Amino acid sequence: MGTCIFCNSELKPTTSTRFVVKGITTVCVPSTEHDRVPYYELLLNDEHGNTFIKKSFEEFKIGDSIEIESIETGTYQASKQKKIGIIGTGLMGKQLAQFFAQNGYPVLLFSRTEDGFKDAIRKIEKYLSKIKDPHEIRMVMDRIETTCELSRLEDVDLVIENVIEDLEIKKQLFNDLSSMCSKNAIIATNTSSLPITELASSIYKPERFIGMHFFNPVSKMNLIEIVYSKYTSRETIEYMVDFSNKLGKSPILVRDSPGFIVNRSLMPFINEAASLLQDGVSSDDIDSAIKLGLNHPMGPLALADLIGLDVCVSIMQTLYKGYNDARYVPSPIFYELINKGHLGKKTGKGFYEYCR
Amino acid sequence: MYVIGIGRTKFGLLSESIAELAYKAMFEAISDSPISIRDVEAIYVSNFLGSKYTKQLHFNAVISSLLPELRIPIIGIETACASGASAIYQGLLALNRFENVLVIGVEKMTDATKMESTEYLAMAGDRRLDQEQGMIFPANYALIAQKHMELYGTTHEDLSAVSFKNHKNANLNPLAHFNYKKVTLDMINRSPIISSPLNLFDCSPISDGAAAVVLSRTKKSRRDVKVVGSDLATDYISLSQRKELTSFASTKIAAANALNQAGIRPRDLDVVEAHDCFTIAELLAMEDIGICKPGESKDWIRKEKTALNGELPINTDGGLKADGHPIGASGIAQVYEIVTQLRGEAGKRQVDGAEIGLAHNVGGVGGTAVIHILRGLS
Repeated sequence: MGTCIFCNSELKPTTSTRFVVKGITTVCVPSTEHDRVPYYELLLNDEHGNTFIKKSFEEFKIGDSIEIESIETGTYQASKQKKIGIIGTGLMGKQLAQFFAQNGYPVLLFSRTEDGFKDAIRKIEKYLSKIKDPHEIRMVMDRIETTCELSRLEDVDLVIENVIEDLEIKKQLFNDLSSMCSKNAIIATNTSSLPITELASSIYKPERFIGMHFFNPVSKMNLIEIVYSKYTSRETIEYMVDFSNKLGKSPILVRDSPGFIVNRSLMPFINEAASLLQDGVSSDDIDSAIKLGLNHPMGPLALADLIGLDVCVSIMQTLYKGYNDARYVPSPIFYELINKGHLGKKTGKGFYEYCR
Repeated sequence: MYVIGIGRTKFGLLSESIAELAYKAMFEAISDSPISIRDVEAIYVSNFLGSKYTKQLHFNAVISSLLPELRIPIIGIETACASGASAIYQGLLALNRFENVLVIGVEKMTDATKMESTEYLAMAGDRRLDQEQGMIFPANYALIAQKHMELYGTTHEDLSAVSFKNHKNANLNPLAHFNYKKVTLDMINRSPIISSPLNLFDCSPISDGAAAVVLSRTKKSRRDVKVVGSDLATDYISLSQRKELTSFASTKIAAANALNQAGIRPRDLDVVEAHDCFTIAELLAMEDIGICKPGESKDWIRKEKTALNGELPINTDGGLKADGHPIGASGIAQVYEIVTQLRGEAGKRQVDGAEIGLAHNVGGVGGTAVIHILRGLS
């Protein structure tokens, strides 16, 4: 290794195995190379009394004893960062691509058509323009790659599917996908109600398949329903819970059942509100009553518009099929609106009208 | 060795280009001195991040272009945030050869985004040990503050008091970045966390600005101020290479040597400019220069001994915290303030009867430290 310039003695490297936290600060300001905040700067001492500075996304206390390998060193080298594949460029696909990119993850966004992801990129740029710093926008956009070829997903660590809520279409996709991406990649579906166990049957190595149900808008809603099938391995479940926590979200574990927790409770509620509307109560009165009486931030009809009336109907049909309970049969008004092309906020009209 | 002329621009968010700022400060320093620009024999130029912020290197030739036909030796100096005082240190050494030397420092920082600025400033740390590990500058000083609190019982209130004092002084300095801003303790305490335990008001701002001094081997006028001590010392660049966090060996060595050259003790000082890039740095400086014992800076702050009317006023111009921190200019602006005080020309912020002043400039977290001690003639 060379000799000492002062005394000519031979220089030897030392190896450190144990580190103790001597200082820790929470860094709240992003910089170009370290744009995901907050992160922690640790001042560590090893067994020889040497000091080290390490970046971490995990919080420690002064005096904690740690192994250096256990520290995730963060976003400095993008290649070390988990790569996320997002399939589908609809409402959720776009939001997830943006969310992961803003959190420092490289994203590969898949759409069947070039127009699909061109539109998605335009929309994401528009959402991001609320951030004032154009440099920050560029950094986020640079993390999003797009592709029309499923085979490009071969090197992602986690893929999240967000295509239309159709069992057969999803099964076909997973069948193609699971042979293309790596054996160790975790395959997740963002389905809001379809049976995970049945989807799992189309997947090679189904123990790595899991439901990861995000809520709209992704950046604001902290819940992730983690839905496991009878095949899902303990490792996959634990990985997902840990990963969701790292994203700053709150995971709740649900065994596979139609509608999971949120939609199974929500859909009869929305359906009942639609029936009230058909009985002649005004939409404003229904939504205002729920907001004021139950302290909900928005009423069920406005929420149905936000979710999409077609999506609501599709979830209700899934629930009806699963539980064979008349509560889940969509009120006729849904079909009246859908047949006129009024799907909710995304088409400019649903139970309410929206400026586009 | 004498400082015979001083000049500076206002600090803050300025519209002028880096060259215009440099020209303004040089013009003012020459106008303030009894000599003409033709009498200047060499120029030292201080700038830290012109290559990043303004994509300009070879800045000595830019200065030459501003002074056509002069064609004298002009040399750039870069020692991170200590660049200004390092250029003065070099300028003073050069008086062995030249009769008159001009020192100019400039930085143009406000054109970049905050994220870029934070990254650029981190370049004063070690690439591998600090930068790659996300060790931005507030994080360095946050770890120092945390240790100082643990060892000596210093509190965040003490840090806020430093910020409050410097902002109050800046209100009396028309050229200061935050001259206009009325800052209350409540504003300071409620400001957002930057790197715990430091919040926004513990940090110096991103500023544009330039400052210049004219140095001379011999006395030229009654307004001259004598340089009685000048030293520069260095140390490990990264905190991870140090044994001690709450003291900078470079400051201690440079201060001891400069005080020795001047033949004075810290208690003889009448006014001090300390490098307060972060509030905790001002407390460290007081202890390392020897103004007080280690751990006692908090007691000085609590007793307001360093206020404008206190026992030893520190950062009468507002310091880097509130006068501003256009890096290349900061160390020179400190000497500008000491000279102004010793000439008795500091107006509303004049320290009565100030005779001896000290300026302390630090690069990074003490990888470089420079001390200048000056004595007034009147």
